[in-house]
Amino acid sequence: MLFLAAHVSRSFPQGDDSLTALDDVTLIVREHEYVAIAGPSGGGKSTLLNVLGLLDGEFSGHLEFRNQKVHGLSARERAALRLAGIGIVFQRFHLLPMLDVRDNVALPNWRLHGARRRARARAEELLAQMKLGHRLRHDPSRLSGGEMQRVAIARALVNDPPVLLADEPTGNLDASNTRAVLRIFDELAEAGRTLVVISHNPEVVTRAKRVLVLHHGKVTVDVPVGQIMEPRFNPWSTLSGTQPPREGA
Amino acid sequence: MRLLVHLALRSLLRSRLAFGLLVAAVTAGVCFQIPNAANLAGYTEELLRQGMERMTGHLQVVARDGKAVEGVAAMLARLERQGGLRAVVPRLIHGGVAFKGSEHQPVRIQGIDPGAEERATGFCRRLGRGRCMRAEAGAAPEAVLGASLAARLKVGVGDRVKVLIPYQELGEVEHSSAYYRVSGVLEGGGAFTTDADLFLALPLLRRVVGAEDAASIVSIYLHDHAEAGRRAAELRPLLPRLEVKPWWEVSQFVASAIAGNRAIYGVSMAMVVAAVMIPVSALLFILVLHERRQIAILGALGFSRPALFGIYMWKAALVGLIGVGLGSALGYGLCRYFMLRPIFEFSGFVVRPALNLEVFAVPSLALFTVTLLSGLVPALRAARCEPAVGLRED
Repeated sequence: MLFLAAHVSRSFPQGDDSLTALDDVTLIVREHEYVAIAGPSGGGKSTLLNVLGLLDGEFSGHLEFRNQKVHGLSARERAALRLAGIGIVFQRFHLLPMLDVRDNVALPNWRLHGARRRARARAEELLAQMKLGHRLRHDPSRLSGGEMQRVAIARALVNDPPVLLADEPTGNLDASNTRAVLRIFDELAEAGRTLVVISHNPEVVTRAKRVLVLHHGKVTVDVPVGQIMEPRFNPWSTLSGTQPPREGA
Repeated sequence: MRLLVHLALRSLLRSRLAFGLLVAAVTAGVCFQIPNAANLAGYTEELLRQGMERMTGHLQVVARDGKAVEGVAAMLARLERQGGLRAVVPRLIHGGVAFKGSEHQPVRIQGIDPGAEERATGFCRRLGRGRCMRAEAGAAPEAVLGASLAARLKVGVGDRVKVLIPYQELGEVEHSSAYYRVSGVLEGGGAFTTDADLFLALPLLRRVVGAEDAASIVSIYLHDHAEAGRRAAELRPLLPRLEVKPWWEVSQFVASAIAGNRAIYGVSMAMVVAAVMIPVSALLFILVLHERRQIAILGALGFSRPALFGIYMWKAALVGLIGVGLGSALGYGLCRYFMLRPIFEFSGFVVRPALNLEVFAVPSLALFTVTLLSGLVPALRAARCEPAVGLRED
């Protein structure tokens, strides 16, 4: 089991009140799964990714990552787990402007193993796989959106983590680059990598094997991808508000 | 650590203007404070050299009643048996009047032992013109004049001056009046009074005033002026009927001026510290705020809080190292400039920068530490950045 979340809730203070972003979420993500998390904006998708990605430790409930209890770990311990075990891809790429493409990719590996040469060699290998071998020494700002996202994916994979989390990975890409990124995700899934992808793009969601729908902070749908377009589960038909019944995957 | 240094440097190079301003602030502080410290140290050295090593000595032995010290020969023999005294010099001081033609000047007349003075203070070598007076018995009476006295009397080497010296004999005031050939002129000692003194050989003055084994003061020269307090305490039991004064009691001007130097140095250091710390900490803090997204990305990639703290402390350290390096080089250049063009020069009293390790090390280390301390709050702020929050703010 890669992730086990039980009764996970996360609220953010809003003046005297609080906003519940995750409300008693329980889910399991197993090794080698390809899971998509869909749902309307403000439904809690990114908050769930932050919790699963160990970026946010301020939740209540129980969370395990690879059978290790996460809740209660210090920020330092969560950082160490994240460095070695979780690759994250963001919608806005989040490449570091002060480093060239190769060092952007090499950075987590250099941090993990402390060996720059080895990290750079690994980065060059991944960038070649992403067809970016000619961009090694370029400044990230000189890349196109699709190239930036491929660099971000290479960076997420540089430490060979068992799971890749992606938050709206195609949100800033055109159709052609979206297809390129999805092809990479397909290859990673086929190679046995666990993927958890957040998106409200049907093209992205339907590439996964399992789909969860988050609505008002709750998992309202958890079904194999083949059922997601059925009217009672289809998140794109429920965006107007009525909460669909919860179904187990 | 290499990774943290790499990230710190790359991040600084990314913000070139801020980096330049940070380095400029530290450089300016160091390159101001090094010549400042060197000049103040040079001023202190000159005060000690002119005021103490050339004049009063590190210790002075005087009679408690203000009269002359008697039995000087025996006292000198006792003192010379003590180890660690560089020189012991008796001086007999009298008032008098010097005449040359229609010019006359009231003068302080110092009876000195030229050989002992030469060993202690380099007296004869400091004569700008002529040579030391002869002290042996039977020699023609000679005098050395301070430069300003010589100028006021309009005399030079080889001229004769008439000197009137009053003294007491059997309760009556008598006076000696004699001509002395000017054998040399002592170049100025800055604001110190030797410039206007008239010097005679000690045996000669003793004979004139009838004080055969007397001295007004006995100056003791040590190897290190910092030893004066301890040596004074050691010598007091040996000379119970006399007073042994360390230099700061003898020359309160020198002591006050040196204390003033220390105060000026402290104040200037505090000002430089503030002038460096405020802009450096402000700029580093602004950089942290400006780079919140990058910090959040690093956190999301798995950089722990100590690592983020380390990156920003390395930034401060790099700024400090570069600033101190540049500042030291520029400071050294300014010191060389002030060596050629002293900031103060008057009548032989010249303030030149003292180039020693301390004047470079103290400002450099202090301002490097200040730069590191300036980085502390920004680095803590960076370390406290929550990746989830930082990325959401984007």
